[in-house]
Amino acid sequence: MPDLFIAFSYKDILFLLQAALVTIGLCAMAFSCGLVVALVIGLFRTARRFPALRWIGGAYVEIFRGTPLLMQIFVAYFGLSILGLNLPPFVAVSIPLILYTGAYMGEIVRAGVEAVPRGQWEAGRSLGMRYRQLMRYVVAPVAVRVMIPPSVGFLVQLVKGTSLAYVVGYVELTRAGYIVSQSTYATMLVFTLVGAIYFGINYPLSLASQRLEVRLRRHA
Amino acid sequence: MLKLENVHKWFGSLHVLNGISFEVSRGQVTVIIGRSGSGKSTILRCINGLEPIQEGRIRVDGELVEAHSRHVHKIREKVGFVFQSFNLFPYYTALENVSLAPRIVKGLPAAEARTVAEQMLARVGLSDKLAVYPDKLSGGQQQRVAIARALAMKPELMLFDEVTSALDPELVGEVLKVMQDLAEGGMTMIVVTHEMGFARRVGSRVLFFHEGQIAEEGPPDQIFTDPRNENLRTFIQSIL
Repeated sequence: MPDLFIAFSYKDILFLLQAALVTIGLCAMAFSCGLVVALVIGLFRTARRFPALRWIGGAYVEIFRGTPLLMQIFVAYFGLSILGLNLPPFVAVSIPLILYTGAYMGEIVRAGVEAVPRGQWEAGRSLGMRYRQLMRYVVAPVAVRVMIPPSVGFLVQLVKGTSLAYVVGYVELTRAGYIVSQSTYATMLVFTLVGAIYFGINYPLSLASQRLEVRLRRHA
Repeated sequence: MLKLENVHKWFGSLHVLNGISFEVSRGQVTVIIGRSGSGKSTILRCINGLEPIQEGRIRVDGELVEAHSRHVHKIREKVGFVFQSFNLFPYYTALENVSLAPRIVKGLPAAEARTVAEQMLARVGLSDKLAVYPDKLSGGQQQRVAIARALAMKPELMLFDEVTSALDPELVGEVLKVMQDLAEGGMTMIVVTHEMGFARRVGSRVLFFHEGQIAEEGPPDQIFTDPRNENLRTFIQSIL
């Protein structure tokens, strides 16, 4: 039994931790860029007086939510290279992750905006506020509070979702685990460790969200 | 300063406003009474462009009110609206609720907006609640903050939509008192209400709405002591 671990050294652990940073970075990038997409989609979806915008937003959400992320990554990576666009793996993985985030978070934005009672909108409007002012000062404070729990839920999903990047050879945590297990044969140990690292990323997220929720819930 | 000409509105096939015409001049307190569904709240919502109308004209200071037009904001800055359900912004203190619009809509510097807000809250008797959030205020206090919030925009016309209907009976008085003070200060007001005592005391004239039309109008004394319209007569009997 001990023989099994001989090849497994602190260097491998270091390698895994580095890869964990890559995963975190990938997530942070996809989440923040995806949030911009989501904001647009969410506002499209709630545009009461513009059915065309609502339709576009709806179609976007259905397409990116209705197809597997893995397939989206394949299309971005292999599909675009067929078209002569040779994207580096980081970009090929980023694009589908951003669009995927845009669809899920777009729905969360929509739910947040719709959770703001009609009367709040009308109060803002009756004071002469323009759409942007209304959104920023009246809708956002209420909507953001509604959005936090599902957003963290999605973020956790996204952290795990980035593991699919391994299929195009992008070295993030899962790929790194695969590499280490190939060279050490300590498959069980390595993937348990990899799993623990994922958990170590996600659990603090959940805790932070719970605390934030309690803090923001005051005066509700 | 306000002129309505033959205003019609439908909700689907429901004809809620059926040719409403009236004028309001500066300093006048117009009280609108009528059964629920008579269109009295709807007319207020149309006056500041929260609801579009299908026919007729509404003018504030000569400017046409069009619900979805670009300049409707400009009109709303001049027309304050107080809702039945207060609609305070829950995550802003009383002071912030009142100072927000002067700051972002009128572009007043923060300090100045704050001063205005303090003055308005003093006017409604809430100087001791500046830093309090709406959830810690009683209904009557919330409604007074809502009145202060509308006043802070220095409106030329104030619309009150059944502002005491959601209040416990013992809280109605404090809100009516604020409104009476306002009226005595010369504010132009349109008040949709079921408070007939208030209508008689404060109103310059009363409009009785029935099935989307003005069935009778006149000075409060005449309306309440000598109603001519059959529906108005039964309405007044039913509430007294």
